[in-house]
This record gives sequence, structure tokens and C-alpha cells, in this order.
Amino acid sequence: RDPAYAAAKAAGQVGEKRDGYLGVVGTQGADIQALVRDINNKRRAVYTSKAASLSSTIDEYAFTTGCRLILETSSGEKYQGLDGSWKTRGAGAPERDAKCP
Amino acid sequence: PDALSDTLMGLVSSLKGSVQGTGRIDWNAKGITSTGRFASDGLDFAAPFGPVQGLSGTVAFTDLLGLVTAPNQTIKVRSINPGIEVNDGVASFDLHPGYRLVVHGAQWPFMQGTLRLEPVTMTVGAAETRRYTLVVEGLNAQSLIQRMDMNNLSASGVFDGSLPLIFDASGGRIENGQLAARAGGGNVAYVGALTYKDLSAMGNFAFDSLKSVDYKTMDIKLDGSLSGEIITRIRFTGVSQGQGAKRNFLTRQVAKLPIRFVVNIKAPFFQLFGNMRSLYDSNYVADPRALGLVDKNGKPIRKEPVPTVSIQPPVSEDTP
Amino acid sequence: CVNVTAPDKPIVIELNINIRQEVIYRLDADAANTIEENPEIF
Repeated sequence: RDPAYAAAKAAGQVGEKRDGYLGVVGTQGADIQALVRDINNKRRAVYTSKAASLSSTIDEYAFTTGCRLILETSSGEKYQGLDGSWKTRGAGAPERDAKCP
Repeated sequence: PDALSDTLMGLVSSLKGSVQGTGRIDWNAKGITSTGRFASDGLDFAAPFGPVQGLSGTVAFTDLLGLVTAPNQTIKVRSINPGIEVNDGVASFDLHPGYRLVVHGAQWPFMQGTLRLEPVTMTVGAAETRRYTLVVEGLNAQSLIQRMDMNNLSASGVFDGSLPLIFDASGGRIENGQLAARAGGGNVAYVGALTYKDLSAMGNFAFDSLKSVDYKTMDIKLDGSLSGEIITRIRFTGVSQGQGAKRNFLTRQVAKLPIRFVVNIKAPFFQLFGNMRSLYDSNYVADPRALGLVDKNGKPIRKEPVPTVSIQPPVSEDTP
Repeated sequence: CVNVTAPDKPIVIELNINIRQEVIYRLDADAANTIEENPEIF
């Protein structure tokens, strides 16, 4: 993983959103915003090709991946809670959408 | 293309392909002037609205540093996929000071007709809600059915209309898309084997008389997200039995009635492309073992809700 | 004999097709492997 991305994740400047994309936590500098845009562009391209091969919609494939990404956040990292606000992952299981497998 | 990608860095990613070109920067009493011509035979990149492949063409810059181009530059785009893939596009544009992009138009062949993007102006890099209008001309119903892999249905009719698109931070959606069949209407017929074997006699009768339907007018309304669910409302009138439908005394009477069929399909647009096939083509649906849903001896790994595909042909509901 | 007189208002036959297949379970295993295959963006 690119060190800047790993650092931003560990520092809680970016977090996993429920829709499968990366989000900026609070207000961050232009470099973090550009990093998030870049990562999301790449995720969108992967979701698009995977959805095509599995005949699902892009949003569904992204959402399913988001469920897993939130499950796999390590303690201290940020993820989006059910009410849309940013939560910090603790030791226990993260709060997850009912539709997640 | 790294230099190019610096300016685009914030916008697009995974830029692949090469750009050749020459640039000149002159200093003189009046100040700095910079010009250049850049060409590529095929750039691929990942944009916020989806992957773009094979962007090619030559662009002449009158102010290279300010990214201002000469008027009417044209480029080709082999594929762009904001939710549904469209190929072999051609676009003409020019770039003005302040990254103001004026798109004069763009056009794609689409289902034996064309998709044409109406002129639009935007600021490159600005986070703004962008409205586009795609004009549909001569969309052929049969090629739409083929594109959707629905080999059990045949349809005829040519459609025109417009698809207003709105792109914002959350992606692209169609709002109030409208398609209408051209004069002369067309036919929709079910050509597959009957899949609902347990239809009652009445069911078989209705099926036989309705399996091929000619329509005089058909309007389709589309609303929803390109990458998610699209609600499609189809309304067709002037209905009469098509070639191949069984006729008899009763159907001749019924044919006189002014019947308006309204079909509301609420389905994910993209999924609509693949999903219909899995309704009646069992080997199309992936093997559950490969997808980690059941283990080797077929025991489900997790409780999977049965897909609730509820297509309710009027007949199959058990009458109270 | 059966004689059907045409009413003035058109008879509307409405058919609702909801394609709501629970896809998310089917995608889960594939999503897990996509995450592993692309560590630099997940």
C-alpha cells in the first residue's frame, strides 16, 4: 500500500464509507483530497469491470466490498456508521448495515 | 504522460498510453507565449464516473501553460462506462482560460441508432453538479433486446427521445428520460419455450393470445442511477394481437377494446442486462460452490435468502 | 352471442415487474478476493 495512503488511514484522516468508497474525515488538506479522489477513481474502475462480469450493478458490487472493508478495519481506523457519521473502530465488531452478508 | 497527469492528477487516475507532441515557449517584450500540439493514439484512465479507454486524437494549444486550445478540437473515445458502456465516441470541444471546457457535442453509435450529447460548458476540476442531455435517435428495439441477452423475446420498433443526465459527487443519474416509438409502432413477442409450466388453462389461453402483441404507440420513462437501479415505466397502446398469437372469437372481441398496457419494471439497469438471462437460463447463474455460498457437499455456508424475483403475470396469482 | 361494447375510457392493464434479486450474498466471496488482489487501493 502506498505509504501516504497507509499513513492517512492509520491517522484517521480517511475512512471506509458504507458505499465501498474512501471518504475524507473532517477537513483535510488538498493532498489528502487528491489521494482520496485517486483511490476512488481506481476503485470505481475495478467495481465497473467486476460488476460487468458478475451481472450485478456497480453500486451493489461497491456496497458488498464496503461491507467487507468496514469489517476488516483495524482498531483506530475510521469507518462510516449507520447514521452516516464517522466512527472509530474499536476492538469489537463494527456497526454494519443489515444488508451486509 | 506524467507531466500531463500532474494537471489531471487530482481528476483521473491510472493514466496509461503515450502522448507525443511539441511545445514552444517564447519570451519577448510582450511577455510569454506558449503553444503546442499533442497527439495520442490511445489513452486509458480511470475517471470518477468510470473507466475510459482508447482516448485518441490531436489537440492544438494556443496557450499551453494556460491550457487553452484552438477552437473545435476533436477526439475519439473507444469506450466509456459510466454504468452502461458506450463505444466509438467522437467529441468536439475547446478549452478556454480558467479551465473552462466548452463541449460542442459528442456522438456514439448506439443500438443501430445514435446517442448525441448536446453542447455543454463546464469548469474542469470544479466540484459542480453537471447537467447533460443525451439525445437518442433511431434506437432499434431488436438490438436493445439482443444487447440485453434476452433471446426469448423479440421486439421491433424504432425509438427516439432524450435522456437528461445529472452528474454530481455521488455519480450519474437519469432524470425524466423519455423514449417514444416512431409512427408505425412495432411488436413484442415471446419466442421462448413456456417456462411457467403450471399455468392453468386460462393461463395458457391468455399466454397464447398475448405472446405476440403489436403496439401502435409505446412511451418509455426512465429514472434512476446509471450505476444502480433504474425505474422504467413502459406504456403501450393500440394493442392488437401480433403474428403468431392464437386468434379466436373472444380475442377478436377483446382486440376491439382500447387496452393500455402499463408495465413498470423496477430493476437495476446494469443488472437488467445480465439478470433477465438468469431467470430462465439456469447454467447462466454462477455455480454457488464457486461463489463460496455452499461447501463441497452442498451444505449452504450461510443462510441465503431465496431470490425474490417477483414477476407477477396476472394469471399466476391464485384467485381468492 | 357475446358482444363486447368498447368503453370510452381505455382499460389499463398494469404489470409490475420487480427484479430484486438478493445479489449481495452472491458477490461477497468475489469482493473478498478483489480486496486481496488490489491491496494498493483497499
